[in-house]
Amino acid sequence: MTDIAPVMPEVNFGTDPVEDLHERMAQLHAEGRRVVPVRYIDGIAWLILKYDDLSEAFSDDVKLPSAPGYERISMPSMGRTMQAMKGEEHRINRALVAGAFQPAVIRKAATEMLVPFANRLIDGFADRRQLDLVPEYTHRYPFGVISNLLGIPIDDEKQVMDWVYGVLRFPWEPDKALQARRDLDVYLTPILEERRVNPKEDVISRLVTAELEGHKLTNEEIFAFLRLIYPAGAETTFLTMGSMMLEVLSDRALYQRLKGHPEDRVVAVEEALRRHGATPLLPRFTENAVNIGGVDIPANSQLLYGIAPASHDPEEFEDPRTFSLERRPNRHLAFGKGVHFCLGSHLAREELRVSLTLLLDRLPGLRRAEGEDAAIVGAPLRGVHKLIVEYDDVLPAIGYESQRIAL
Amino acid sequence: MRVTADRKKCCSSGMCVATAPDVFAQRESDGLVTVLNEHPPESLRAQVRRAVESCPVGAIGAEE
Repeated sequence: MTDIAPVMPEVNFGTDPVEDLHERMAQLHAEGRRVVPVRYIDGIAWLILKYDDLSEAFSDDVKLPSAPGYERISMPSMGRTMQAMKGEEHRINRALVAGAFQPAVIRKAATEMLVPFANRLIDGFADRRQLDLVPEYTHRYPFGVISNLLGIPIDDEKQVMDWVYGVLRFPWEPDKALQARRDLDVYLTPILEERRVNPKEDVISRLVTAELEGHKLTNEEIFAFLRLIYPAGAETTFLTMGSMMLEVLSDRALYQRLKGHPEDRVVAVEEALRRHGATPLLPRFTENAVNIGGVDIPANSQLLYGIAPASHDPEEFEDPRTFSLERRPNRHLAFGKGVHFCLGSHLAREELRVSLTLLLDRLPGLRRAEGEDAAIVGAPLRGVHKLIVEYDDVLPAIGYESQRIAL
Repeated sequence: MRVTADRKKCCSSGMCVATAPDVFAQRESDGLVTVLNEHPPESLRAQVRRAVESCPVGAIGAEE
């Protein structure tokens, strides 16, 4: 591996903020590159840049299974999540949880929980006219939504979040990660047992009672899913939501159009996912030697699935670095493709639409606070960690009509 | 137009239902696809095309 010379050796795509990620990807597109070696954490990764190559890679879970990557990255701390499964086992495990995230269920959840919960958070803004939107909303909302959906008592959320972030400390602090995993399991066990006896309308109840072709989920399979759902479902949405709000509040014309034309918001969410999806470079590993885009890659090599560069491939997207409300359909790869396609895509979209609508309509004059910096940073996980905003008033709670996806 | 769906390939993404809700549905329990209308009218053709295109695993098809 040491004889492979990375492109752009001044950047570590695993650890640097890479604020100029899109400019760098555009440069590689302009040079006609398809797959390039880059520096990634303490080694080299093969970065896939082109839309067609990435689409094909995502679609072929036999040639390029997701399992080897997740076995290394997350299995020691999270257990065997669905991402580390393939074939028939994956199909059945996924189907057992998928019912809980289908559009019809999410639409119902929007009315019953997503909208009231967003309204409650914004009610809390009433006596202020300036705040940091990240801790107060864009972070708090997606995590709270997951807790509410699962049926985790909201009073325990802070503790649960500490454990979840603890599990994510693997491999940097392995002891802490494994202790957090044990603590989380101990906390969840009686909740699972209780829902088994008295099922409610929440996701945990669904998981303990789900059955398909004679299969039921084991406790460990449910734990693995629950360890995964906060990082996969809440962290990603929080990061994308911050980037979306920063984009909207940094572009007066876009803000005005979305304020005056609520019907364009569903398109804006799709474009935010394309421009600012939270996982622009998704780490994977090869199982066997493969050829991608004409480049030979050995077995057991680190790959980076270039979701951002593929979703800005000039052969697929006209004027790719412009935030445009005219891309219909918008074939971005923010949720991946193939059998591991994001299970929570409808939930994520609904959270982004509800939040965009309620923040714009309830906070007149919403704007970035003058003199306060905000940036979209990170490459494997990218988003906004601080966004100081001001507004003139807090209007009363409003409803929200769920809109069809804009394809 | 004749619409087909392969439940063994289906990954319950819900993209077809989000795109063409009059033609596709999902089973309540596991989210697997069911076809509501095998011969959708001309007016739904564009929606069905987009649904086929948006399926992440190519589990649905439409023959003219």
